[in-house]
Amino acid sequence: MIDIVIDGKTIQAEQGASLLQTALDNGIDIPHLCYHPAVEAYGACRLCLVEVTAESHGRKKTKLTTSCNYPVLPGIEVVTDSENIRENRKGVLELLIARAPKAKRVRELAAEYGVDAQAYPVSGEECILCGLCIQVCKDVMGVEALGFIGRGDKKDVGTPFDDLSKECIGCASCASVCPTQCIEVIDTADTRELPRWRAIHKLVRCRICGKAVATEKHLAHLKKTVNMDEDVRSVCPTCRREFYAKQAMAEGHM
Amino acid sequence: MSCSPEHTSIDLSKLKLLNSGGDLAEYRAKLQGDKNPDRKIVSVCTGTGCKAYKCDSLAEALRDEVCKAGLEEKVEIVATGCHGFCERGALMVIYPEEILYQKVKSENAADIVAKTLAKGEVIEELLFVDPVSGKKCTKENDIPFYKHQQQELMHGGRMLDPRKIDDYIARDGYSALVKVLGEMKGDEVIDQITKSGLRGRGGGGFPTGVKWRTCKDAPGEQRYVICNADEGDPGAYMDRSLLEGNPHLIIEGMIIGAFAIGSSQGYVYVRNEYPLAVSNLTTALEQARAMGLLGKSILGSDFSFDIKVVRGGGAFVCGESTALMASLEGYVGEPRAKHIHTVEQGLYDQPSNLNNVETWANVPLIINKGVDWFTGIGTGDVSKNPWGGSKGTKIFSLVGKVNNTGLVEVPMGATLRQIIFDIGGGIRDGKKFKGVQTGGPSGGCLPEKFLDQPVDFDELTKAGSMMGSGGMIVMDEDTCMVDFARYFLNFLRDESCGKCTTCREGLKRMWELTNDICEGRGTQKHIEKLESLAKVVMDGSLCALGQTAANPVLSTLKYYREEYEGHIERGECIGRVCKPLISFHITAECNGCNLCALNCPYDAISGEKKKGDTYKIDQDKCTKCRICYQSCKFDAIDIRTGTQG
Repeated sequence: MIDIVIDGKTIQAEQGASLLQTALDNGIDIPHLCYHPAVEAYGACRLCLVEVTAESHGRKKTKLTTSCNYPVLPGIEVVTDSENIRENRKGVLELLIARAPKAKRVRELAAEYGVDAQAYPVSGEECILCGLCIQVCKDVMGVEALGFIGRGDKKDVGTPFDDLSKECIGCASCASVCPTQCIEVIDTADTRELPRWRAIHKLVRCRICGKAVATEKHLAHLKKTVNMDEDVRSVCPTCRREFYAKQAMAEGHM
Repeated sequence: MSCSPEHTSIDLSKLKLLNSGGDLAEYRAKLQGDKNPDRKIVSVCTGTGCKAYKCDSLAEALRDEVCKAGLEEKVEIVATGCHGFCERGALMVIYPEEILYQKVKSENAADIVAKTLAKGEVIEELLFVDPVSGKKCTKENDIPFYKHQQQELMHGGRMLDPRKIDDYIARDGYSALVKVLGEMKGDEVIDQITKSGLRGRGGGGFPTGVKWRTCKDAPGEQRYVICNADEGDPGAYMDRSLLEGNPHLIIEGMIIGAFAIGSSQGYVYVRNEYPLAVSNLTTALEQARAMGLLGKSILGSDFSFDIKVVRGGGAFVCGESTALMASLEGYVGEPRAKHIHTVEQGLYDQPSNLNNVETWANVPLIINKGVDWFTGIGTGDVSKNPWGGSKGTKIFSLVGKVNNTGLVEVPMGATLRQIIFDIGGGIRDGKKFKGVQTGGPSGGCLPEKFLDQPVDFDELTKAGSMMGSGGMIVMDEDTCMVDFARYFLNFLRDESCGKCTTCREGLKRMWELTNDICEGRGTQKHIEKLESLAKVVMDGSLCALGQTAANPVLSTLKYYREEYEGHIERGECIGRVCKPLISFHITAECNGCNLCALNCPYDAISGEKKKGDTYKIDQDKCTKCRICYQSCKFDAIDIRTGTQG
């Protein structure tokens, strides 16, 4: 652990850890959209800008940088709120709200920063291209069904050739991490649809209570990656707890 | 004997394997001794520009004619790299007389051999006529375009065939490598490069020796040296020509760098759109490897190093070091955060030293000619501080509305006026100079008052532009500076990797704002918004592409603000470019020739075939395509804008 200074306070932090996470852990709020502790910081949304003063070639230099992918380094001093930072965050939010005007989190932040929602013509997208869905699919689920397409202002997120991905298992992890909630998940009696990825998956129902457990492909994926009894896998989390509790009682552990 | 076409591909198995510096010197002496020292050398440019003028068949026709005339012992035809004066291709120079022929076709070959090569007669029609003075120039150094240059890097490539390693060796090629391997330690090489004041030619201007030192000292199992040949600025082709014309010079520079740093693997990241560069480089690497100049135990020493060629898919952003390394690793070319520098943790997280093509090309010259020679060229004092000046020469790609366009090499510190007026011959068609864009999309645009500004790493930055990698686009009075800014924004919004919100969304919005102004919808608020957004894009973006992307807008707002205001307040585009703000009219100068009406694709022009102002343009039908304006022989088409319209 090393000492760093954030907003004048000395804080103990782990060298190399994310500066944003360190601030959040210490109760210092820095707005962010594309950061998620489960994956490596990507630094796309540019909201978590802070001012970092560090020594380089014997001289102290202050620069504006994203805190999510800035590592905790010895001797750094960090300012998380200043006129300059607020102006820049405001500028970023103006761009984001023009892109994704319906996104709840973007609207909340925009209101907090007093952003003019009409600074630019609205483009009516919902996705802010933060890349979290791609990262969680690849790095957490180990699936790689999604990726970025194109570049520049034509950049998009999607499946290969915008077709139903063979890789997608319908786990909906992408939807769960999306900061703008723009990945819709529609569960019916026996299907799960993810219209954004043109995916329709067969849902498996809990053989005890009948509630949706997961998609067939998701369960097949779990079979490969997690050591779990077949009996247990096709049971919903509530019934699973009951199953294990009963088993434990029967074996006399409780 | 029969005259058969020359074999261009060299049998690698017949190349001699060299086991020491002595072997190389012996081999060089033999190469030099084999040729008639009094022979004439005909240097035929076979760079990409001249290829469009069929220089390959010209070189073949010349060889054929020389053979037929029985002059093979007396004349050598060399198919060389780029000569620089591309707009005058196909180019050829006859040495030792230095007679330069331009716009040569293969049909001229017989005449050239029979008259000039056999009898020494000069063919007047093939000489260059200076558009400024109207004088015919016989020798290349009579031509202002060449006279005012100092070609150190480019000269070698103009004398040798890039596909033949023998040509490079015969001209003292790889002697710097022999010197380094035989007489120097890695640290000494780094010291020499640091003392020379060589700074990164890609535009960053970081002292090369300092970079090498950091890379050498960084902990790591494998060190990489990389050559950045992903040149992508609009209109710039310096690196392309160097790689095409003298690949061994870059290879030699990289081997020396690898030796100094302690690297065994190098990469050249080159655009796939540069097929000739890829081909010549690959051939050069194969030949160098076959001769023991590359690969295991170079020249019999215990130093091993090899180079791989990796072709880029043409994304501008891959010229950025971290994006380039991501692409080398097989990932999408997106920049990464550089809180730890790539010289310490770059390619595959190992210390990686990346330099631009032109930077590498300087290395053998510095080793051979010495630090004092190099520091004798350029500006400032680098003896105490490697950032203290800009040393050596710099190649610029001089394009736009100048009389002489092409690649020019000048000492650092040459003024914009020397480059644009002395070498470039000033503005075409007697028009007025309006500005010069330096440094590509990251640079800025400078007006007339900066013409006497020396061009180096620091001076142009002070003026609000940058030297960059050497793109130089000259603009005349017919350019609209708002449209110009819009052009670069359009380029960058397309070439941004799209990762950072500020760059992706910001550049799109800046383009929209300039587009509104160009189309007559601009307000004062547009200018204010452009300025505030420029700051967000520059401060909030991760890599140099975004951080510098607003420069074309900011520099034009600084020096040509009245043009922005003209568009907004008076609907006036003084460059007469922005279609919604201009209209075409026929004046009393009209001769009634009817040519404009004939050429108009929209039947918008009608009138009686007689002198005077009978011809009229129907403004509802006119699409402002400019064809009438360009076809009129009497200057009778007037483009009006603003209050005139």
